[in-house]
Amino acid sequence: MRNMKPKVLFAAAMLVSLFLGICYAEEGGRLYSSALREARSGNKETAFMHFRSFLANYPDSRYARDALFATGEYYFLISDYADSVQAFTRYLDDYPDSPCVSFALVYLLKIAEKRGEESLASDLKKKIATLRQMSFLFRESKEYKYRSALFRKHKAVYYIDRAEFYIDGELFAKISY
Amino acid sequence: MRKYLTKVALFLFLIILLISASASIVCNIILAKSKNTVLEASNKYFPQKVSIGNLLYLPPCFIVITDASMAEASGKKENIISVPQAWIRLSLLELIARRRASISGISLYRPQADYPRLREFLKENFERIMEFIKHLPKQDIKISIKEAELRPAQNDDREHYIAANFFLKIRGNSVSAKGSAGRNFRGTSLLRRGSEIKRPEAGVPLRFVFKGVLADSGISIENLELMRENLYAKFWGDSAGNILSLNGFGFANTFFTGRDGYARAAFNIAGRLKDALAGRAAPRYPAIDLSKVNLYVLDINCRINLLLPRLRIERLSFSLNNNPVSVQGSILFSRPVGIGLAVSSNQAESGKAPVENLKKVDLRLQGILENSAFTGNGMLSLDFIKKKKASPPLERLKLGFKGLSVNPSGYPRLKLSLKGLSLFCLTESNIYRMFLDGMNALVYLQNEKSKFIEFNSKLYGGSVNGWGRVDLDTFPPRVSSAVRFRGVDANKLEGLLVHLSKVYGRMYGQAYFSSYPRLILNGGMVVENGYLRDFEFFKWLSETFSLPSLRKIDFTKLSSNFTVNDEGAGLHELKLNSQDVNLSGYFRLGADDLVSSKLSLSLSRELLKESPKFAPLLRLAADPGPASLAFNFQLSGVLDAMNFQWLSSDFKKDVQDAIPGFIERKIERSVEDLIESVQ
Repeated sequence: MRNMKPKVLFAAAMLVSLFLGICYAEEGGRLYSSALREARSGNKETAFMHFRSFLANYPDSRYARDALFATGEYYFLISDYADSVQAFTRYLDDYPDSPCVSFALVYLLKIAEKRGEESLASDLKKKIATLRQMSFLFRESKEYKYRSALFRKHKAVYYIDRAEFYIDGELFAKISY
Repeated sequence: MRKYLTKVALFLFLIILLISASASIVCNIILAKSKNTVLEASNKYFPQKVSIGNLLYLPPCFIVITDASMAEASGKKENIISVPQAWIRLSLLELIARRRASISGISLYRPQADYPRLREFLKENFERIMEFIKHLPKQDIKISIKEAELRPAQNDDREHYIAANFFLKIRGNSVSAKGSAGRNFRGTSLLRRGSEIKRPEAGVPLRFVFKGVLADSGISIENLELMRENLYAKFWGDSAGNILSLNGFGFANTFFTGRDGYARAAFNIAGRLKDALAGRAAPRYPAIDLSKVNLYVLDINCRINLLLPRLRIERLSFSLNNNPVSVQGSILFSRPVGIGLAVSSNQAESGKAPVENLKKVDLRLQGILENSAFTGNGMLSLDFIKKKKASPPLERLKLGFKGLSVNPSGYPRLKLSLKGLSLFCLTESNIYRMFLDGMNALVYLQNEKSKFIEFNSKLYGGSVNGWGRVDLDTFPPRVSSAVRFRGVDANKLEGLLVHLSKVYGRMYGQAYFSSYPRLILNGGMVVENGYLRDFEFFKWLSETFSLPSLRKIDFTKLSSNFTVNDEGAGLHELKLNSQDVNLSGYFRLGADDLVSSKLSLSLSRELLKESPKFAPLLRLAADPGPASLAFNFQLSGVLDAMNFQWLSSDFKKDVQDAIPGFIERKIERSVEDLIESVQ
């Protein structure tokens, strides 16, 4: 009986930790969900504040990647290019294998062009061009889609000698190579 | 009484006249007798044969020497220098008060010298002359040389000579000198120039003015000016012991072509007198026209160690048209003259905006100078600023030459030969190398505004010949060149294009280069009856699709035209004709290594039958169809990760008609996986 006591205490502690963890995750999930809800309703500012809070409190969450992209996107929409660059650069550093890297690079390219940073824009174009090596045996083009946490539809269409990027059906950027 | 005084005066005058005449006669007898003594004294210093026509004393204080000359001691004994008339002025004060013959002035009239012989004489007797000058007594003296003629080599036109005037004055420690030298013509012969008949042009003389102060260890150079209608240079500094230190500046108009008609370079008393009587001012040489100056040499700073016969340039720096230049090295005045020089121009160190995209220029020369011909080895290196936009970005161009021989005897046509010339070119992404063996060239320098070169050389088992032209009337100069090469071992040209190492056969072709209006290199090449061994593209096809025959392709003709300009480089009208493989199309590489290419590859059915992977495809193709199947494809994107598209063709249509969509997608995914695995 005496030997049983520590084991029970350990099991109780584990249960408490698990419970707290679930609560923590649920709290994070709730925050992210409410951010999505606000974004879907068109309240981008509120959604952005939730994403920011989410990133600050739950940086290791599986939703952090999309939340970070959304903050970069929001900064771009309000023309706060310095913060947008910061967010997308962090995105590229933290998630280099993400399928949305090309979209983050295109945002950075547009900002460089708006700022007149020709050399940086040229480097970014080269990066986008080398990101995917494409082969077209039977098709003329290939498409990649991503719906961001701000509910904006991103689409990249690759051809043999160019790539076109659309947001909500409108041409956002075109890179020829 | 008055009559008496007149008689006494007349008597005294006659006595003085008699004494003077007697003294003159006596002096002239003594001088005539001492002529041999003078000649013997000169022989102590110089081995050459010195002769004097007459030695005359003219009261009160002049000695006149006529027909003096110095000739070669052996051989043809032709004159090195001849002086028709020389006047030596003795100091009257010294003569009367101290009864000592002290020379206070020397004037040489119309001395004539044969330049090649004089040069040899000066070279052989330089130390003796310096010794002679050192032993001269330190006293006030004036030396003048009037209407000197320096004749060129015997084979040259005798009408043409260098006319010079020189005046030197030493008073106490103060030294001043001035003079002029310029090309001139004898007589009044006329020359035909184009449709006009004109008098030959007299050269515009180069004048100089010098002022200095003698010191114990050397001389302080207060002012040394060189002036011509197209040149002005000023120097100052000092000479102490062996060290000569000079500072200065200069500028010139290099496009100046001279003036029509004769220039009065020679001093002419009668002419001057005539001008003065007619109220005409003595002719003045026009000053340099600053608005036409195109060459600025500023901030000259040099320190030269005169360890004769060696001259060591310890430091020589100046700015040439705003480009810093530094020179180091030594020149050995022996026979032959030895030269070792390192010239460098570093734009980056100047802190100024560089000229065009040139960053640094280095030239090293090591060799000998004999009979005006230079023979030696050297290296010329040009470093460029890395260009951002233009492609191909040139970073360094280096020329190494061995056994360089430059013979200026036919100037303005310069003969140049090289035992070996290595070319090295570094761009942002590549290194190019080439070696020319036994190169001969003729450089045409006659035209002031453009220079022309013709050359030929052996090149990797074949030969290359061509021409180049540099137009100097713009800055930077415009360069154009055309080259033709014949029978060159294609695989030896791997230094120019690494893929050529896999091409075997004799290459023929031509190339044209121009730097204006835009930088361009284009041309064409053809290799006949050769083969490709392990050519990268075909090697990949061979390994991927099990086609071993593609490892070695015997072809009847491989040809392509090429273009390199500031937008990129490309092969166009590319053609490979062989029994089983035919290739045609173009391949362009632009800025940022972006590729643009369309190629058509035809493989014979016989060849494709080798491959188990192609067997199913062959079954899909129309049968009986053409003897070969054409694969048209497009390449695009960055060179290291090119995109690939199979373009439409009859064969592709047959394949698409025969397989369902999900198979197409499966094949597409397989190829993507293959590409990713390669990446």
